[in-house]
This record gives sequence, C-alpha cells and structure tokens, in this order.
Amino acid sequence: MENITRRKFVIQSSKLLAFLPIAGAVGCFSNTDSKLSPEDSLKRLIYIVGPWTVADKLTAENFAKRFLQTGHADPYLPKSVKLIQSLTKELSEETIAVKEIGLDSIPEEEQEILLNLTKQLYSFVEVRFYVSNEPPWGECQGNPKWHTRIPE
Amino acid sequence: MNEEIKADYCIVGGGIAGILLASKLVATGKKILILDQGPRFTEKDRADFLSKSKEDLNDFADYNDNVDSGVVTPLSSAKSGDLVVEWTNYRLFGIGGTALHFEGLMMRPIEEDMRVKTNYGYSRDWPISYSELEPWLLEAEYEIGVSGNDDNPYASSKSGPYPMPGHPFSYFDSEILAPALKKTGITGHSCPRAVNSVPYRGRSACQACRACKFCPTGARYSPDRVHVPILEKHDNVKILENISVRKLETNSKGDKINAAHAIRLQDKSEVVIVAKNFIVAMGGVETPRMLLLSANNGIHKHGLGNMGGQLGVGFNDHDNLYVTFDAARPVGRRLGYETMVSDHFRKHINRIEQPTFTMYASPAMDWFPIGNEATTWSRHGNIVSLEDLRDSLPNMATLSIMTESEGRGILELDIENLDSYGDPIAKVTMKLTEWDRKAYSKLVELAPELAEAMSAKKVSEVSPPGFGLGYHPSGATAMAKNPDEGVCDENLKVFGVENLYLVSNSVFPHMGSNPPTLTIAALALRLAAHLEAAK
Repeated sequence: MENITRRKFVIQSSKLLAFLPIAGAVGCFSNTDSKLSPEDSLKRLIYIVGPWTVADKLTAENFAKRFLQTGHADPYLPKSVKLIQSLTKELSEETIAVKEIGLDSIPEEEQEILLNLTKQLYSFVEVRFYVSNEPPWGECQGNPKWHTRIPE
Repeated sequence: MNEEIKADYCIVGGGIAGILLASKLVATGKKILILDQGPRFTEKDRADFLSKSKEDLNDFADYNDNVDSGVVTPLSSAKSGDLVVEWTNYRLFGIGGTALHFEGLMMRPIEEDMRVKTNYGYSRDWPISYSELEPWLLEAEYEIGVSGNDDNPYASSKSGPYPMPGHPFSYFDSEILAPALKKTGITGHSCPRAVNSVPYRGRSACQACRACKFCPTGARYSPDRVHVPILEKHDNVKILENISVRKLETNSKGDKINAAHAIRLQDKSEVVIVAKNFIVAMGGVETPRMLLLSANNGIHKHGLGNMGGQLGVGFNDHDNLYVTFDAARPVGRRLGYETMVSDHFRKHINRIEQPTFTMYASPAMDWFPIGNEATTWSRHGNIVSLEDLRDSLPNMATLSIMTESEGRGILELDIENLDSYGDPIAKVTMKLTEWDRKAYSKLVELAPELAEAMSAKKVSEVSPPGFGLGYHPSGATAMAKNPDEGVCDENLKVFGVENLYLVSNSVFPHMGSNPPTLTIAALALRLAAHLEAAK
C-alpha cells in the first residue's frame, strides 16, 4: 500500500526546500501533531502550491496572512486539514514550492479544492508578478519604454 | 421649504460628457450647475484604494466599492431565455463618472459604422455623417490628450494628427504579434490611448506602474484631474456631489422642463433646480431611466421624448471574447495596457453576414484568467506540475476582441425592483442574436491560425459569447431625424421638449466595435458649440 501510494502520490520537493522558522505561525506541520488548525493547514498548502522560494519566506507569510484575513480562504478551510494530512505523508515538514503533486490518492472532493486553490493563487496579480520577477503592481518604473525590453 | 438653485445650464451627471460640455460652456459666463450622485474622489482616495486592494488581495478594487448600491448604483436586472443573456454594468458614479476607471481606449468610429442600416440592413443609421463628427473627434483627442500614430490602414479619414505619439510597441508586439498577424494578412498598428506617451498639458508620461485604474501619476486622463480643477476656478460653475436627481418636471403643456427634483444623499434634503436648459449626461443606463421616470400626463406619458415608442429601444453593448496562448517562450512585459491592436476586422469583413470587431493582444501577466488556464494546462493526467505552471506564466499572452452587436436590447423600468427612493430600477433585457454570435465563430476559427503563426504551444478555448461586465451600454435614447426613429434630434435635443438635451452613449443610434468614449466626448463638444450658437 505504501508503494502504491508513493507511485500515485508523486510529490517532489523543489530545490529550494528549506525550513520556515516560525513553524507555529506559518503553519509548518508535524505529522505527529493531529491538532493542526484549518488556518495553519491552509497556510501550509499555500506554501506548497505557491511560487515563493525560501529566501522570500516573509513574502509568503505576508501573502498567506492576508489571504486568510480577507475571506479568500473560506472555501478552502473546511477541507484544509484533511488535504494537508494527505499531502504531508509525502512531504517533509519544511517543504515549500513543490514541483508537482499527484492527485490519485487524494479524495475527489479534496482534489477539486486543491486545484481551485492553485487556480486562485495564480490568479492574483501579486503572485504572477512574483513568478515573473516583475515589480509590484502600482510601483512606477519611471521608464515609458520598460515594456520594450527583451525578456530574460 | 425646499432649497432652490437657479442656473442657466443644469448638467445632470458629472462624467466625461457632462464635464467636457461644461468646460466649453464656461466661457459663456452663464451659470452652470453640475450634479452627480457620487462623490468627488481625492488623490488620497486613489492612493488608499490601491493600498487597500493590495492589503485585501482584491485585484478588482474599484471606486464605488464602499457605496450603498441601493442609493447610488441601482442595479440592472436581466431575464433569461432564448437569445437573452445576462447583462451587468461596469459604470461608476462620482465626479469623473466611468472615466474614473476606464482603460483609455480612444478608437474613432469608421464611416461605415454610421450608415449600417442603409449599407447593410441592420440596426440604425446615425442622423449625422462621419465627416460631420470628425472635427469634434479631433478636438476631443486634443482636449483629453490621446497618444497614437497615424499608422492604422483601416481608419477613416482624419483631419489632423494625434496630439502625442503612440506608445512604443512592446517586445511582444514587435517580435511575436506583428509577425504572426502579418502571416495571416492582418496589420497591427498603434492603439490610441488617453494615456500620455510624453508629458502633456502639465501631466506626466506613463511611468509603467500597471495600475491604470488608479493611475498614480495622472498620465491617464480622468475628468476629475484635468477639466474639473479648471471648472472649479470659475465663479459661474457650481459642482455638487452626492446629490441624486430623481425627476425632471415639465410644464403644463409638457414641452419644457421647469425644474429638476433632487435629493442630497447625506441628509436626504430635497433640492429643486430651476434652469433655462437641462442636459442629462448620466450614461447609457441612467439617461434613459431618467426620461422614463420623468413621464408626465401629456404627450410624454410614456417617458420624455417617447412619442414614437423609441425610448429604451436599441439598447446595445459590446461582447468581449478572449483566448489565451502559451507562446512557448517569454513574451515580455506590458505597460498595463495593449500597445498594438488591429482594426482589420472592422474593415475587412462582410457586415451583412457578421459583426465587426477590434482585436487586442498583449503579454498576459496581469490578466487574471491565466491562473486558471495555466493550472489546467499544467495538469498531466493525475499529476499537477507546479513547475510547469510557474515556468509557463511568463510565456502567456492573451488576445481579445471587442465585437459589434446588433443592438436588440430593451431598457425599461422594473416595477418589481425599487431603489432606496422607491423608484423602479432599470431592467435591461439583452439579446445576443445569431448574427452577433458569428463574431464568436470567427474567433474560434482565427485563434488556432494565430497560435500557429506565433508558434504558440497551446491556445485556450474562446470564452463564451455574452456581454460580460457591461462596459459600454448605449443606444436607448438614440439621436434620429424624427421621433419615430429615436428620442433626440441630431443636436441632441429631446423631441417635444424645448430645453432638454442628452449627451452620453445612450444617444448612439448604433455602436461599432470601437469603444465609445471618444465619440461621447466629441458629441459633448459638438453640443457645447450648438448651445453656444443657440444662445
């Protein structure tokens, strides 16, 4: 069963795996801790699915905090504990920005939640601009030809 | 006793039409009163909106978010059924109106847009020709400050250049889009924008902040930043915010407006405005609603100017469709708006068979639907490759089209839904005809061709036909040669009322596939000249 689960449930850590130091506050999950709150589980999910590197862990924390404070989290909270428990069977406690997630062993309803969370995260301009290393929305570049540069 | 205010010109609505009209009338020295049911936003408001949108992770934050919708923004309703689609409204209330948050697209109509009934057999002709409107379009481009190059091979004649050069083409425009368009026989050209490409009349050039809705620099035109401050320096102009005009009262014969009845939102006090001329400039929905709410017992018993049964008829909007491409290589950045567009399908299409459309494409990094597309495309069987997702985002581009529609919508009063004052809200029943839907079919055909031409790896499905957010409501108080064809005459005077004028996109007999703002501005300037001449 363990091997089947492993095959179906491929989750590779990124090269940027690292420890998020404020474990309680940012939601780092211990498999031995069955009392993880829905909020902390969701934060952990955001770090796993989101694009942030460990060097930008404060940015990730700040984003997750606002995500939870402003009602965006509501559809995900009821299932977040179950989902993170499924995922973290294959993840270290410190994992962020994984390369891929296998859906096979995740119950159908939780799969939908995970996909919706992914779609929503990458629908935020702030997240997409982080991915493309673009300066924040609203920050003037002082260069009207900024958009003519050859992309890196 | 109610407060009474007297004026020579009472302009109801402080959007781009009303403000530009006033900016021309001010030189007459006549007393001008401008009323708007929204507030006068400050620069601090703009900064706070931008800051709050980040704090709340709300990419759609907007000016009217905190306003009581029952008081300031009565909603439109829609039926469902065959060929009838949902319709919403992206308008704003406040000094500056919808131009507070508009994208600044400043395309002109083309000659053919104004003769569609005669030439192609659909919708309605304008009672004036393109050549009559053209000088006012040019003047509007200078008043507003439009950047653009005279490189559009599909445009109708222009009597002068744009006041500013166009924004430089982006990397994507030059290296990916233009070559792909060329392979399919289409020419890309500059996009006329109310965004400064160079400093213009005291405002800076665009600084690429990409938050155009709140434009921190003022490079994008907004009436409250450009023309309102000028008006505020004149003693003969009074601008009242947060005041809602509820009804226009006619005299006993019904051929003249005696007064406008209004309510101040803050203390609910009633105000009566007595003026020599009234100009309703309340946009595509509230203008026809005001005429319907002002029905009297005489010839206007079905609404002002509605002797021919044309009030509310021909309501129209644009259908906006889009596709997303994964271009398989980085597409670069954008200023916050498209810098290359194409009017090819405004000119080279059989209008008897299908609608025209304008075409826009650009890198999609600030286009929210790509989160959905990229996630969907990054799923391989039961594996979601987040690495693929992150890698693909910088390669994404979007192409959208703004399509002409036949204009078969109806606007009427919804007696089952009342606003906070007990008045019926506007009900819009929006029809998307089979002819309208052919623009969708055309894009379905075109998208894979363009994808191949730009060597894209993937292309999404075309978004379904519909009227989306309702950007450009128009047509429900059309200008016409007689009351059997419209609500106001070619000088925008309401039929059967000697001192009532309209100026908004509601007076368009037909709207081509170009955004309406420049045409609205041109009509406002033309009306100002008419009123001055008529004094």
